[in-house]
This record gives sequence, structure tokens and C-alpha cells, in this order.
Amino acid sequence: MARMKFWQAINQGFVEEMERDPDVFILGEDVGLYGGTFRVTEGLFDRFGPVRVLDTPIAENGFVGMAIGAAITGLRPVVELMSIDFASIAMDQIVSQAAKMRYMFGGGCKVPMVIRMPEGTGTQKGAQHSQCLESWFVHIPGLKVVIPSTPADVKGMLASSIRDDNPVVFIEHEKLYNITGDVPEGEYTVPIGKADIKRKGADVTLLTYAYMTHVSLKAAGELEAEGISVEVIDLRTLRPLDEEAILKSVKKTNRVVIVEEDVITMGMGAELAAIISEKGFFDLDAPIIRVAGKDVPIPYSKELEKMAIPNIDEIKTAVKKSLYKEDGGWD
Amino acid sequence: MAQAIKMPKLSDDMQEGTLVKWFKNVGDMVEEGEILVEIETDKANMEVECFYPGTLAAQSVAEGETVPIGTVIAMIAESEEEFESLVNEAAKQAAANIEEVKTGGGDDVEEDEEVGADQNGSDGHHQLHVVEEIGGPRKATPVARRIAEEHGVSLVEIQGTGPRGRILKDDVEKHIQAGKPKAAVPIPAQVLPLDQKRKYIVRKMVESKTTIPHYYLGADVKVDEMLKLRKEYNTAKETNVTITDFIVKASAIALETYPLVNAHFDEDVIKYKEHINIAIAVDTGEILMAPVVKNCESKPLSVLSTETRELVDKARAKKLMPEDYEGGTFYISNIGGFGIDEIAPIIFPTTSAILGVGAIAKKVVVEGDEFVIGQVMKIILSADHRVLDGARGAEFLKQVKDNLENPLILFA
Repeated sequence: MARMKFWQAINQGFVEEMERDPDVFILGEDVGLYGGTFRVTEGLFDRFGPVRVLDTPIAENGFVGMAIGAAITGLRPVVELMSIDFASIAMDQIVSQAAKMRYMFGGGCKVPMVIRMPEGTGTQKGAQHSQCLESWFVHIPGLKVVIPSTPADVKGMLASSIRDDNPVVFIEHEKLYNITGDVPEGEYTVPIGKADIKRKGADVTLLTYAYMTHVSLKAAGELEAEGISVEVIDLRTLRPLDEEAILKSVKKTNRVVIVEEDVITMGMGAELAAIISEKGFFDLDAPIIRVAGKDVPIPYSKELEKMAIPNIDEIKTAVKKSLYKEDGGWD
Repeated sequence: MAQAIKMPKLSDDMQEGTLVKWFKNVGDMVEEGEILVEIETDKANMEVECFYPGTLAAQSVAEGETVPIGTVIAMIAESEEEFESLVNEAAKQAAANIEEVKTGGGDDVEEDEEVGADQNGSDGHHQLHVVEEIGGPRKATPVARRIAEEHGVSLVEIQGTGPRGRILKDDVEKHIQAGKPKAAVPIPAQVLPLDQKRKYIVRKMVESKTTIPHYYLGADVKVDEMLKLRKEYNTAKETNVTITDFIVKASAIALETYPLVNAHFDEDVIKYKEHINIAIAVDTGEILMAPVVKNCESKPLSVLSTETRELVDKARAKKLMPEDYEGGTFYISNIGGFGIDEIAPIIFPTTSAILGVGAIAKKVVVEGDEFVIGQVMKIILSADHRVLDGARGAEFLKQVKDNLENPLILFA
């Protein structure tokens, strides 16, 4: 095991994959000479050169389209959007082209590409640069959506995503880049489509992902001291969801709290709650609760920004409501 | 046209049914396909739909009352006029009943008027057998409801600790743990009236023992090989094939060789059957049920095992449907789980034989000229002498024993 930061784990993943497979290349804004806005691609330009680490102009629609062209003609591009917020500029390419080509061409081509997108709230970048938009992509058949929360997971899932023959939206929460964690030595993959129980528990199931995984774990630790045993499941992949793991946990604890940073309306929690209600209804001892981002553009003010997304107290209150230790407002 | 709803015949030999619960009251609209009543039959409780839309004009049978099949239990009015006239008729009928009880059938005018006045009174109880709704629907969480149903526990008995008295999973589990008696279990010193299911068993067992000439053949089966093979198979395939599954398969093979055992005596002929449907006696804790595994002649051991498991689970959850327990051609009763050595069971009418299976025990057995320790299981075939002479029964039982002692044949 080696200890390293989240961004270093991605960097190392890139080195291994690009050495293993000469068809893998990176493109995006400031990925090359600058070394990446979050240091993720640091050193890769020197190691692999300007063709395999390609700096693009500020033209998301254009260079995502270019990556698609590369993918369908035999290469394995990993394209970076500087922020998930900019995906809206390239949506036609992502949704109408990359996601649908293989299907519409009857399998005549495949689109083996990874689209990396940093996202998240909490660094006072304002409403246009602080969104969590994963649910946009989870809604699109033809895409896979991956969102790891630890250095070990991000390296293994990058490898799996690069090796997958489908377009994979690979989301990295910005507040995770500098967290440190243990990473296994050598080459390894973490499977797409499998959730991870980051903390075992018996009373309540917390379903979460990305940065909120860590907030949830902290809340779980504090609740333990109050005698409440919380199981924290890091979803890791949002499309396809690991339904089996989710329903198994619900069967065990009979209570679900979903913790998500994205806006509550039509967010990931809505899909999770629907699935659990359809397939795990008779295992529920309390209504499903979502702790999520508020229905508001993310404020620029630091204090208001904090209030717009879930915090530890909100999570703990939700857990207690589901145990009827606090009034949930249900009759 | 007003429709009379009659007590339905819900299974082959149902003769009477008990009306457990009304889902609609007089005056309620009933849509086609809506559940009207819950009926208890000899095997199960079933919710029965109404196929005629309209307004419920009369509940002719009260909750808890038992009537023969074909008895009118409800009247559905199609129009308002019909409803009025049916209600009035029922009132007149009830009034006449009351009058007869009061006057012994006399023509006392004063009493008539008195009774006439009652007819339009607000008290509908006497006229239309309207039964009071006991309590209301109990509030419980989905998992609490499911667990209560699985254990046959009524929510009415449980105190809920959730908000506004809602019943939670914990409440149900504590209730079950406390071992509080379920609604139907009597206090020992009192007299227990028989429910439909018990009446059915009484009928069938008496019929069998008074009409079928039983004889019994016993055999000791050495099951060491079978147990070994079962362990290997279950480990290799990650399955849970049971000893009963092996016995079902061994019997199915023997029944194919000796179809006479699969036949039965019917007045003055012996009827052979097309399929081998093996019924397995299951104790649900309250009563004996015998779900049937159909068409065993064409099923390999793994399929028989899966189907048996599903049927047994269904039986324990009290979810068996008529097609699950009808049509058995051969029965198996395995009492081994209770640690009992042998059972000579009672043949089920419309079959000719039943195989009783006892517990497996280590015994001293003879191999060659030496004493060794072996695992032995006693099986007894009860057979109908009208169909099976001793030799026929013996041939069959010998093959069952051979199949179990040479278990590779069960996987063929």
C-alpha cells in the first residue's frame, strides 16, 4: 500500500494506462503544458509528448466532438472538461453523438472514450462553476457514469473506465483532489457498477457518493457515540446502479437516508428512492429521506454556500427522524 | 336485474365455507372485480371478488357464519329502485322473523304495527345482518405489516410505538417473541370449535381409515452413500438439496417402474394416472398441508428440489392456492425432522399408497460378517390392498430402498 493524494492517484493511473496501451491519449484545456488545473496531468506532457497530451482551445463542443471522432476510428481518448458546468456547451456531442452512435449504427462502431469532469460546491466559485450535474448524464442510456470518492477507488475506476468500450462520464469532486488515502501497489482495477460499503452498520442505511461520502462517514462516527449504528454505502457508480447492494442493505436495516450534494429536485436521490420504493417497499420501517442540495443557484458568499448543501447536522437529524427519535412530520 | 351472490365452491371437495369478513357494507358501490368477502375454506382463507357491478343491497350471511356452498350470501342491486325494493324486502323478511319469534307466528295486529315501526328505524342491525366494523385499519409500516402477515399475527393485537401509535417492525417482533397467542389459539381448558381446515382433515382421515384396507411394509435404508453424495453435490453446486428431495426423486423413479402404485381404486375400477404428482406433507406449525410437486416423471433432481422448496415456503406462508395442493397421486410424509424413528401414515383418498419416512440414526449394521456403524433411515409404505397386493407393494418399496442406497441413479 502507498499513501497518496486523490489527484496523484489519477496521475499514476494515467501513467500506467498510457504505457500499457498506446491508443490512450488525453485532451482538454491546460492538460498539457500547464499540467492540469488540479495538477491531475502533471508531468504527463513531458513523459508522453504533445500529441498524446493534447492542449485544446476553449471549445468544448469542438474537442469533445474530436474525441468522439478519435474513439470511433480506433483510439481511446480521455477528454477533460475543466468543470462539469461546461458540459452544457458540449451536450449535443455527449448526449446525441457519443451516447447513441453505437446503438444507432447497429453496433457498427464503438465509442471507447472517457469524459472527465470535475464538479462540486464549496470553493466559492459562484453559481456557474459549482454545480453537481451527474443526474443529467445518469438520465442518458448509452452512457456510464462513475464518481469515485477515494484515491484507491479513483485509480482503479479510471483504469476500468479507460478499458471500457463505452463512453464513460468520469466525475471527480474538486474537494477530493487533495485528500490522502491508501492505494494498492501495482496495476489493479475497481469494477464499474459495484457500490462499496465504506462502513458497516445495522440501524440505518446511508446511500451517498463523492464528497458527501466523507461527510456521511463523519456523521456516522458521531452517531455511533449516541448508540446509533449507521451503514454508509458509497455508490461509486451512478449508472448502472448497484441495486443488489442497495436493496440488500435496506433489507438489513429497514431505513434509508440518501445524502447527495446535487440539487434535491430530480437529483440522484429521486431515482434511488423510486427504486427502493418499488423493489424494497416491504422492508421499510420508515419513509425514505433525502438530504440534498437546496433548490437554489449556488451562492458566492461563503456562508450562504455552506447552507446550500448538506452538512453533518442535517445528516444526523435525518437519521434520527428515520428512527423516530425526532419528529419527521409524518403522522 | 338484481344479482344474488352465492357461497362459491373454491376447491374440489369444498362443501361449506365460513364468511370471515365483509369488505363492503350495505349501500356501498361495488365494481366488477372488487373484493367483496373473505371466505375460509377447508384449506385456506381466500378473498373473493364480485363479478357484478352495482350496490350491495344485502349481506345475507354474517361474519363468522358457516353456510353450505350455493347459499346466497349477498344481493347486488343494479339500480336505485332495485336497491330500495331489496332493502325493503330484507326488512320485511327480518321483521317477519322477529314477529314469528315474538308471537309464535300469530296475527296480533298491535305487534305487527310495533314491528312495522322498527323497520324504518335507524337500527339496521336486526334487519340486514349489518355487522359493526371492529376498529379501523391499523397503521403500520410496510415491513411491520409484512412480518405480521408472515407470522400470522393480527395487527389488532399489537400496540404501536411509532408516531401516532403506528406499529413498527420492532413492535411486531417483540410481540412475536413474547409468544402471545394468535387469535385462533384457545385457552387449554376451553372447547375448541373446528375450523374448516381441521374439519377437512377429519373428513379425509376418517374416510380413508373406514374405506381403504391398509397394510404396511417396512424397510431399513442404509443412507451413508446418500448423505455423502448430498453433501458433495450441495457443496459443488452451492444448492440446498434436502433428504426429502432425494426421497421424492427415488419415489418418482420407482413410480415410473411400477405405475400401479400411482393408480387408485374408484368404485369398481382401478384408475391409472397420466402424471406422477408427489404430495409432500408439511407442518405449518398449526396444521398439516400437503403441497404437490407436479409431473415428477419429467423433472431432474435439481428442478424437483427448487420446486419443493418454493411450495414448502408457500405452505408455511399460508399462500398455497388450490392448484398447489390438488392432484396428488402419491404422498410422502417425512416425520424425521422431529426425531421420530418411523411413521405408518394414513393413505390419502384418491391415491393407493403413502410413504412414511423416519429420522436417520446411527445404528449397528451387518456388512459381510462384521458389525459396522451405519446411518439408517426407516421407511414404511402404507398401501391400499384393493389395488396393491403385498408383492406389488413390496416390489415398489424395494426399488425405493435400492434407489436411496445407490443414489447415483437419482442424478441420471
